[in-house]
Amino acid sequence: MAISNATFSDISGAVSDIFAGMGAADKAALQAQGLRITAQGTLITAQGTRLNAESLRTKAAGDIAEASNYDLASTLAEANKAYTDQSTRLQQSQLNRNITQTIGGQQAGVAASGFGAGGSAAYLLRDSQAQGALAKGVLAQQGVITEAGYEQQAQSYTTLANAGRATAAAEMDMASKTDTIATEQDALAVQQQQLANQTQDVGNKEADMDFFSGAIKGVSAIASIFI
Amino acid sequence: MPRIETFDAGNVALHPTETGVEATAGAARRIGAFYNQQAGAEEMLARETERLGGMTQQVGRETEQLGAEKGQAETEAGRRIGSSIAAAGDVAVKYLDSQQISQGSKAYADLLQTTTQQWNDTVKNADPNNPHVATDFMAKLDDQLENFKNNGFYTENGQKWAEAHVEALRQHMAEKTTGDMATLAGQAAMVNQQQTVNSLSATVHGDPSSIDFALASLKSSTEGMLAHSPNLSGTAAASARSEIMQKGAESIVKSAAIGYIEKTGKMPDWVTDPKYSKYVNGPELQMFERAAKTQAKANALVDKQTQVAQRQLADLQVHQGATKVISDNITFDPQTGQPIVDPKFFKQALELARNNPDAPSAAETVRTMMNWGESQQNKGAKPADDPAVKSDLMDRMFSADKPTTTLDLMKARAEGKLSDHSFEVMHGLVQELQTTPLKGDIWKDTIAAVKGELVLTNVGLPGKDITGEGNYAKWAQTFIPQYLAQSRAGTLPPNALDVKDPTSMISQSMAPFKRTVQQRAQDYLSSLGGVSPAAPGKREDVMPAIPPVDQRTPGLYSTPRGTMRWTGTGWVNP
Repeated sequence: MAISNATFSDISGAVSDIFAGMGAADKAALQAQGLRITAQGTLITAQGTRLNAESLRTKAAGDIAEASNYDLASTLAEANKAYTDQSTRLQQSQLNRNITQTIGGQQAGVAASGFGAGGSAAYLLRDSQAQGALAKGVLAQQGVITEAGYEQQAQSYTTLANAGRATAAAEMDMASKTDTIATEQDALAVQQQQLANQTQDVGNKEADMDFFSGAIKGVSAIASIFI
Repeated sequence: MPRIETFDAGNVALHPTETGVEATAGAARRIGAFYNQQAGAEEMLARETERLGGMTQQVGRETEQLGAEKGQAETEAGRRIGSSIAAAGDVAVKYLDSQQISQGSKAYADLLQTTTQQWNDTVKNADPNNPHVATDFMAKLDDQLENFKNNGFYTENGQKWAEAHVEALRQHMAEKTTGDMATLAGQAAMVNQQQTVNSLSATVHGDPSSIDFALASLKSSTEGMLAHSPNLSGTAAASARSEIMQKGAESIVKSAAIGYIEKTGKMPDWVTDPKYSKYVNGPELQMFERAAKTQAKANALVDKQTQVAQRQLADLQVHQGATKVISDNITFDPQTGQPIVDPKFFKQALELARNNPDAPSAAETVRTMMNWGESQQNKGAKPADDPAVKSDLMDRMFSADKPTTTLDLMKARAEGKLSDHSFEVMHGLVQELQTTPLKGDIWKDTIAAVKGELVLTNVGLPGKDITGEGNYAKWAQTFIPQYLAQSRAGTLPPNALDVKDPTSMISQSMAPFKRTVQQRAQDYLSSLGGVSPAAPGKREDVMPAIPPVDQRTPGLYSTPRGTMRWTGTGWVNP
């Protein structure tokens, strides 16, 4: 051992290693800190994701509530259909009574007038009967038409209700999946924390090795001078 | 006719009403509208909340982006600061590199010079076959190199420079030390193998028929030596092998040829065999032919010389036999100092002559021995020393050409020119000097110096310094045994023979025999006045021998200069 270029190369290396060690320590600390911040961001993102899931669940709840009302509206439409049937049969009864009264009156008048049953009287009677039959047909048809309208209305609301529930189910499923994503983001944040710790450890070790290397080179340089 | 009226109800009818239905249906529509209104509000709130979450997430993303940018900015700032530091450091390091390398270059040059000198000093006296010389030096060098490298180089490039130069120097010194040791080992191998070659050459010279075995021995010993030489390897080994094998084989073949020629006086017919002819060139063949002719003539001469040599050898055997007969059969009476002759002396002396009939000196030697023996049996005769004869015998004690022998002493004794006491003492001296000869220039000069101190010569008058001659002989009888004893014991002081040092062993031994100028002149003149040459002999009888220095105790002693006191370190007048 003796003083040589290697002596100063060792000193140079020692200084370089010490600074490299300091740089490695600072780098590791800041990178670890950055990773921890990133992990914090990931956690916040996970919270946002959970809020998205909550939003989906809110939408689902709204859809379910809307579907319930549509169910109710459908029920009401079904009730209106029943009412229409009842009303049609009621009107048909009243019409039959009117027809019967009209034709009976005419027969009574004819009879009272003494007119025979033929001729004009017969004609009147036949016309009344025809008018009655027409009225009864129209009434029945009208009732069918109205019932059909209510039926379609009820079916339409039922369809809306079913669609709302399906949508709610889909949203709940999406919310569940979004929660899963949030959970994975949490896990990712934990990994980022671990990565930060590992980065810190690796950086510390690298710094230690640099310091150790620097110390060895320094000792080597001193030894080359005195030995 | 009367009219009878009836009640007519008229046109009665039921009339269903639409009011209730319409009211209920209208209520349903209104309720749905209310809920839708509430849901719409909730949706708006949710959208706002989600937008807030989105914005919060955006803030988080921007915060993340901010963190990334801040981290990048801080990292970039660190990178820029680091780059600036590195750039400044590069400049500083270049400056330091330059400074260290500049200073290190001089230190490196000094280190190179020092280590090279150290190696040269090390290798100068190193054993070529010691494998540790180079490794030990390199180990020490490593310490120096480490010290060099670890001082003054503290930048990487500086250290790399030092490392590279240290490694280069280490490599250089490793190669140099290995190379030098290999060269030295090669030279040593050449010397060692030359001895082997000489031995094999001598063998084949004596026995030319062993030439193939000698050549094989040369090869095996050379290969073995090279294989086991720790410092000899690679090209040095190959070079040494080639040189030793070629030159050695040439030497052996030529030696065998010369030996053959010397033995037979003829050219060996095998010398032209391709197996050997590659080691002999044309001029050498011609030389062999001439040598063969010369040898034939020389052999005849040698035969004659051999006869002479045999006679000389017989003479030598006679002298050695005489010495043995004398040593075995002659002892000296410790009381009187007179020789005691064993009767076997005469018988063995005669056998000596019988056993060496070819020795020219046998008859004279035996005659001398017999004469001496007979003179010893004549108890009435008491010969005194002839100073001239005794001086000659003493002088030749240290001669390399004709040293005094026991036979010379016997001859002088038989002729009545040597006393029994002198014979005993000088015989002992002869035996001592036969065991440990004292010859050579140092001894020759030393003896000459002692004689010059003790004997008066060249005075321009007739006559001799008889007293001085006697003192010289007695000095020799005293000093030589002491000197030889200490020499064998290894206790001789360095200045033992320094006659100029008054404290030396030889000066101390000479002290009792030195005389003043007046004494010398008086002694010389007295000899001219007819003083009997036998007078010094009488003085020997009254003056006991002075003990050696290491056995001498302080006190009074009779010396040639009169009674003197030995203080333990020197002589003084009493």
